[in-house]
Amino acid sequence: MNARCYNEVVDDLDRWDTKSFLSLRGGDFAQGWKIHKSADSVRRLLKPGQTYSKRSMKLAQLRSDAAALGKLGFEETTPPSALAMRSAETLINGLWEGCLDFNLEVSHDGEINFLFGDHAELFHIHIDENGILSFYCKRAEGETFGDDMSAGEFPNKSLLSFVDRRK
Amino acid sequence: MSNTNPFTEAHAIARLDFALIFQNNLSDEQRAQLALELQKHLDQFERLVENDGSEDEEPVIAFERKGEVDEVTEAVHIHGNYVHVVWSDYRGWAFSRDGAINYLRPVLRWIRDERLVLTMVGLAYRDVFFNDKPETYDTGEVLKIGSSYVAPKVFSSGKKWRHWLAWSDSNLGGASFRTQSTLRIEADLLSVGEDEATIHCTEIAHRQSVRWGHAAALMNPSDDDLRNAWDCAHRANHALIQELITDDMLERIGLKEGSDECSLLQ
Repeated sequence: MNARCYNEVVDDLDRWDTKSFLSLRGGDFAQGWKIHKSADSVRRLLKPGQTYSKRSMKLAQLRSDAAALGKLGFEETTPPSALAMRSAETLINGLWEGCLDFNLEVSHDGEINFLFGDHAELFHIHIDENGILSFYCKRAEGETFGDDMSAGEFPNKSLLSFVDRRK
Repeated sequence: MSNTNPFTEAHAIARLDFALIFQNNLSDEQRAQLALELQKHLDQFERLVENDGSEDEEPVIAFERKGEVDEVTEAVHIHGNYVHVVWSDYRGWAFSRDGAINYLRPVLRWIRDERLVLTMVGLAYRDVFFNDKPETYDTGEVLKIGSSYVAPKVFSSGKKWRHWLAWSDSNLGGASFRTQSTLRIEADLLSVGEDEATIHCTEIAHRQSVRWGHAAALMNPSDDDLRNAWDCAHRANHALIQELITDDMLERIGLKEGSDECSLLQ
């Protein structure tokens, strides 16, 4: 038997034992589903992938920065609204792989900024208190921008093109 | 400060699984044809060598998509009488659900053309929490004391135990759906890494199979029918986790009010 194939099958811990479903009325439900486990597959579960880790770090930073702003209690500071937080999480979840290296800044008025690149060449995404997104891109050959969009409408292709050119 | 941490800095989810489950097993011919259509559709995925069904395993055809550093982010498998999408890189509920529907597009065409008979859909979450100083492990750092889903005995059962519960519910989604659920929780010590360091792992697997209360959706499920069924199961998982996990962990995995994860539930 092909060794790689064997590992893949064992690694599919999430397989559904549909035989138990089908015999449910016969009272087999209490026996539950089969559980497959091997040292290899458990080990694989023990570590999230690099992309997943990176994306999660950004989400965690967003949550902690927003919470910290909320705790300051100064009159002139406002934490991001629930709409802004939802948009920001949707944007981070939707960013393509390769576009997860950015600076995240939550401003004192609760707006959320994603900064790629540097002063010479930059890609700046901004989310306002209503969760509306706009972006601005400056490159040697000119500027592009977009506004009044939801996080789901963000043009990932433009950002990837910006990121790829800087590699 | 607790030494117990969720799977990532923002989520406990290690796997999220969307399944379409059929009335009958696929024939060899159907499997081969469906695999070809999926291969064409899943153009960012790699098709793996398939298992021949020996060693008491059912045959499986697998496709995997990899992320930046050769790590699997999503997988699609064809099994005997079901096809499922497993996310290893959780990207929020709506993104994952709609992505799964898109990946399963060729299978949905077969169902709508009456080449396959759908009996139910499945949704499974596997949440994981680690403690890299296992001598400090305390079940109460992950699970809420007093939850009706967990036997009180687990809180005095040390570092290694297994808990299992099953139930059915016919009142979800305004009685449009009937679900059967299992909850498996395992606490164990594991050796990891080259130095075989021992860590503690708490794994929570919540599996739900969802049937529609009316036959029309099974015969010709629209994308909205599927979204509704999976949303219903997602809400049930959310309610379970709220009752199961400590407030501190809920906050760390973003399941407090106002997060994107909660927006579908309001």
